[in-house]
Amino acid sequence: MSKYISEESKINEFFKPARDLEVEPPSFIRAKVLARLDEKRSSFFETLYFRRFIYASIALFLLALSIKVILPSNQQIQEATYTVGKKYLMKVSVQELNLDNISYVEIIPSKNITFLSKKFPDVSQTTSLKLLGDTVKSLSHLPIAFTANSEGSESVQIHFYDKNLDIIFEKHIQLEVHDG
Amino acid sequence: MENSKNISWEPILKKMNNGDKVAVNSFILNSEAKLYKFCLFYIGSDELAKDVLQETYLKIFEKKVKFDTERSPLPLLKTIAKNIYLDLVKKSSYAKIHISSSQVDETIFGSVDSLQEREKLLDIVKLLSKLSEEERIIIILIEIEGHTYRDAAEVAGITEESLRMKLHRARKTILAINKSETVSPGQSYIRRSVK
Repeated sequence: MSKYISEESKINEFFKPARDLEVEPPSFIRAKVLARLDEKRSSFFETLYFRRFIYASIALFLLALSIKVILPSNQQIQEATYTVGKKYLMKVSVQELNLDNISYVEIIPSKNITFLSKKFPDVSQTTSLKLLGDTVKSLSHLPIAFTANSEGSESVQIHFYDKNLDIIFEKHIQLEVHDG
Repeated sequence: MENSKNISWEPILKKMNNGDKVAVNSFILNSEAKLYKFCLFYIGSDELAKDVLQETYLKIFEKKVKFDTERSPLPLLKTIAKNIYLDLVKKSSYAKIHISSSQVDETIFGSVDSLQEREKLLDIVKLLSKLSEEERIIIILIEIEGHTYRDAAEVAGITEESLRMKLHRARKTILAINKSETVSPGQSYIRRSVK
């Protein structure tokens, strides 16, 4: 029995350097995996684009119909309308939100909305923008420069994350884009 | 032990199961070091370990694997990594990469500063390479990674009872190898390392 224990402790001691070893995998692996994941997602959404477009059109039609039925005829609805190809600067107010616990903010436009920036032209290639919480806290509004690439119903979603990666506020901006 | 440094996986896994992109990043960040270490000892080659690590994550996300939110995802990650490696070994182009004492990557622990520590780690990989694939994985999971018998049995694909038996046999094999072989004249793997 004691021989067995001594052998076991020998083995235990032998593997100690391996147990204590801390390794760090190269960061490019994570970057590669996330990039591949993004690629897959975008191609998935491309194939679903037409189906989503049809569903969105039907939903909009039904919404328009229900508004027409429900609302009195003298009431008017004002919608923000935009023109394809024009450059816009939208200011989204964040003053009313308590941003103390904000870790970062993610701005996600729908497919046909492209971000614009003179300083950072590459921003037009991104599918979402992430801003650090500290940057956002110092602003009274979020300035979003964009252009619309085709007509239809588009949107911009803004997610406010806390340190636990939970969304604590959300803003959804609907854009009606018309052709010239 | 393996669980002592574990973070709370539940919120990350819940979000990941719902397709949350931010949770994916967090998931990789919290698991990649442990999975990479497992791959290094199991495979014995840094390059191949990196390939298997990357393929494991891609497989999980492409197949949309759903995780049990009440358990650590590491046993499942290691099972997938093991299967990916075994598949690679089966393919003829990779057959010659299969771990053997003469083919252990001598630069595998290049990032470890101390030469003495590097030698000890290399001795471990060399000794592991002399075990059967099943014995090697059991020894890594129990002796190095400190998994529970339940988790180790899951990764090895055997029952807990069988694992206990095979672990006992693997320890005996290690002592037998240690008795019969020498690393350098007069020094056995274990004696040299313990000293």
